[in-house]
Amino acid sequence: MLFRTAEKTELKALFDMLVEKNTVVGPVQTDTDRMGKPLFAFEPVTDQAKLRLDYTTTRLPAKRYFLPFREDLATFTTDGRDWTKTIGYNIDRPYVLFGLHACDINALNKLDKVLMGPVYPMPYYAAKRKNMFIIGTDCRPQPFCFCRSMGADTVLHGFDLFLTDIGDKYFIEIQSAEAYEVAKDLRTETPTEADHMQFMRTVAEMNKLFTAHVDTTDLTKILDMEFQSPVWKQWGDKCLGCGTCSNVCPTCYCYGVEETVDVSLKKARKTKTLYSCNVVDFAEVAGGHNFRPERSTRLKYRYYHKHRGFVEAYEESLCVGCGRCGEACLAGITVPEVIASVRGEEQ
Amino acid sequence: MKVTQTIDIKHITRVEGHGNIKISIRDGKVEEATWEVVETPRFFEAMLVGKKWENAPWICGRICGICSIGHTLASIRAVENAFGIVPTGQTGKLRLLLKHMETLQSHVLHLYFLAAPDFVNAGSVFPLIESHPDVIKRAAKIKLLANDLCDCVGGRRMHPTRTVVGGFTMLPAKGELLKFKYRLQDVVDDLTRTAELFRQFSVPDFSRETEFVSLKGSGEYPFIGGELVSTDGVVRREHEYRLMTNEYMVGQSTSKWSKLSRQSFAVGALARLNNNFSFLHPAAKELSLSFGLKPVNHNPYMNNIAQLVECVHIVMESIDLINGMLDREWQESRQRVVPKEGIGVGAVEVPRGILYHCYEFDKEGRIVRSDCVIPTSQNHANIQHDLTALAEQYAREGKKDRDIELLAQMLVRSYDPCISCSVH
Amino acid sequence: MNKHEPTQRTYLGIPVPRPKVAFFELSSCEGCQLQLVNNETTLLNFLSLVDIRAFREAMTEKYDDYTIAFVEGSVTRSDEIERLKKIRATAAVLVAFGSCACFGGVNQLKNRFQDPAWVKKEVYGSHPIETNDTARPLEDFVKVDLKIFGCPVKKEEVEKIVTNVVLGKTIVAPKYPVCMECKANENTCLFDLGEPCLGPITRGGCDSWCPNSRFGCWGCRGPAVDANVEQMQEVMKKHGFSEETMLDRLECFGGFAGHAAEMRNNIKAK
Repeated sequence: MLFRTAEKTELKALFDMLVEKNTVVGPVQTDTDRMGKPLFAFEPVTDQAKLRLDYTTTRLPAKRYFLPFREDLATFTTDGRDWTKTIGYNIDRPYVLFGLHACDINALNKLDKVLMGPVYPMPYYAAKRKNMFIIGTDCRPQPFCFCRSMGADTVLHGFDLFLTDIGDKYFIEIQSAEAYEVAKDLRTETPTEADHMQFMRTVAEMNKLFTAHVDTTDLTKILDMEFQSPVWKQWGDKCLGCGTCSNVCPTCYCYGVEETVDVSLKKARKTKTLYSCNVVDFAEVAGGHNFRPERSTRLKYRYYHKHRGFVEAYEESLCVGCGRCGEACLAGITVPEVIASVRGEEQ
Repeated sequence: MKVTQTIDIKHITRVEGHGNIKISIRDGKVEEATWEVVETPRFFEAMLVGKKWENAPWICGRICGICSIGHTLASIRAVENAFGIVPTGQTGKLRLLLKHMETLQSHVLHLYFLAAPDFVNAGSVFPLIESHPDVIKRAAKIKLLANDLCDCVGGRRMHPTRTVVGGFTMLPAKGELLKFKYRLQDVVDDLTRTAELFRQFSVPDFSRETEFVSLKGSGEYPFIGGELVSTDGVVRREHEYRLMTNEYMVGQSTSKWSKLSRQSFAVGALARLNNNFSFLHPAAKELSLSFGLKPVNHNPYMNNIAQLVECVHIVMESIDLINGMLDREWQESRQRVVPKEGIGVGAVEVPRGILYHCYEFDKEGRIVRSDCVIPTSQNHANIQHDLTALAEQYAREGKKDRDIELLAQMLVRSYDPCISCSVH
Repeated sequence: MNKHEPTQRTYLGIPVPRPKVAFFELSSCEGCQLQLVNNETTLLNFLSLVDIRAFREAMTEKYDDYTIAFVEGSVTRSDEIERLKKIRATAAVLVAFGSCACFGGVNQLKNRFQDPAWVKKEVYGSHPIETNDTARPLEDFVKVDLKIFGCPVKKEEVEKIVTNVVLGKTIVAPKYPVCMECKANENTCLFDLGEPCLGPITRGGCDSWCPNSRFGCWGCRGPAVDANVEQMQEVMKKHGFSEETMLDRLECFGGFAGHAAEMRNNIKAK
């Protein structure tokens, strides 16, 4: 890891340099909610003035750039009795993701463990992942952020550049060779000891701002103990089974596959669609048996996958504490409240 | 040899909705000529009572599948007139563009799929797919353009989703509008070819002096709102629509009938053209004159040609509308709605003629009473009188180039009736 | 319908059946049928998959030898019951086509009035008019083999179903709510925009047609499987929407008739 600093004005130079030959994706304001607050999303940006690095969070993570909601795994064309199968990884260019927060970068690192593992890597994911240039940016904790509880408020790898605003300058972390080449064309300085101190102070200030917490002490044990807890039914009764939590989650990757033949009978496609274990027929198998017909068991299962099952396999939680699920849930079900209820705490 | 013939057609095909034709001629005398409307009433006007204003356009769009946009716009206009909401210029133009595309889609559907088969002695358009594939492709192309633009502006080509009281939930992307402008420019040629096709058809020679009712254009060929006018010289304000429609019940029809200065009157493309010919786009005027169609034309079969003329006018005007939008910045798409006690009337020209929606609201904006007068309802009486006259002419003159069975059905079809609508 | 033998359709060289289908409508706006000719880009392909034996809105010829009958509209008059029973007796497969056929559609809005005589008087005055007191879905009178939901139906969904019938594949309607599709389309949630939406309890398959245009879902496809209507009421209340707002949407198409009636009684009781 190399460290540099740069004047704030260099941000535009960095953007302009990248946008010239690449598609740059970053947080932009797409809407205003009914209270007048801006809503952000990751969209391609060509005008640096539209890039909102001061964004709070996005409703949806940058999912379509690494795990699109709908993706063709293969397309087929028929010709008499013959057919041709075409497999594409659905990426035609590298992307610059300009402005991912630490939680989202950690999320991608966790997905790498599942989807780019040694035995069964998912090429559709890997192709996109290997063609990303990630610029992380620092952020201010929002009322719903509990990334610190999940150890995801800072990130050590998985990005090319990371920019931290230390007041009058950016503190730049350079992680990759590509980042090094990019930084060479910027006006940067060697950080001074004062810069180092300012960096540490900035992070310490950020740590004080968290208001949402999840106590993860012994959490896997406690989840095992409380498997039959009545709280699951209480939360299940509130759950709408709408799948929104999974759809806004930066680490949810479950999917279904469907084969459809075109009405012309000359084409067909095999499509992967992201799915949610909260949806009623997620655990329904051929023959019609449903292993999780109740909302309470499905909701419980999702929490167990994130905070217990994944931990057993990879020794870290699958949840990064971004808070999107709780914010998007219309029934108001949030991770801090659910975990607290399981622990028998008042929230 | 004196004509003796009976026809009894149950549920005439290639029209929207259910109607029966009965004609009985014996020894050159017409014993019966009846246009019977048997569609089941759905009671939309009762359904709305007690419902808040936002329900009206959403529910009323479902009066009809073909003219759902027209109903939605008329309903919205009635609500806005009742609450004193004036749509912005931008909203007005978008609604007109949407209305134009509905008209285009409907006219093409009618001309090619419902009416044309009669002129080529086919039972439906389907055999033409094999025998005249180019003709069908052309129809599909124009209809597709109209429907696609409806999707773009209205959100959905049937039972639109973006049209609300106060404006639009969402605005189209300018890049998309530009592409549509090019498609519209391209389709002008297809309309010319359509005209050439219809020039080959022989339009039945029949005429009966009729009063024609429509919106009164003031500077423009009218589609949304305005005064009401008839070829017999009646002029009324929009909210006085009851004086133009005079609905009443008859035994042979589940739809109401209408009358004005005579026993019946007609609405539709021919009516609009007869009243507003001078406001047609020059290209449309030229086309109309080339078919010998000029005001006041009393041949109901010429309604088909009038629809064709309107298609040309619509395409030309839509190109202008889009140019206007591309030149300006988008403004706020939706106004706040504050309900008020009162009555509002919305008059809109849908493809088949002038449509009226009228609602009376209480102070919380709930509907106390509603009234919808459908263009085809207004036409039923005229269809009946036309049918009688046609039967009498046939009884006197005998078969010329077509049988009365075909002529009678073609007569009804030329009105492009929307029978489910008319009964609602 | 065709004067000559239609060309045999094949898939991967294997001949596929060309089912004989017919389209009928009871009390309806005929919009669902219009949707069949509304997807112009795929129209010719669609038409070549089936042998249309009757389609009153589009063709004059009519034959009584159909295997699959698509019936649009709700039952609102006694003659419609007879027509429906005759269709049921003729067809091997009866498809309820659109929300009117599946649930009653907007036609069933008149059912909420206690006095059917008032309904008639409101529109026709003292003139006698024959209709049933209530508008009912097809399954109240005959066995229905398949339901295609929506007001209007989605042409793509109909194409998919017909293609699957021809190929012998299972037909599956989504069980999940509209929210799944709305998020996949990356829409801003209607509740964020201050609009009510029944998406979380309505069956998907429409590809979030209305929310895509920032118009809240009114539940035309009926309930999702295991829809949590009680919690939806809480969600509406939390976002400041009145019970009347929810009831308007719940009872509009008839898919939630039971819940709507209960809610209507509760509101009246207050």
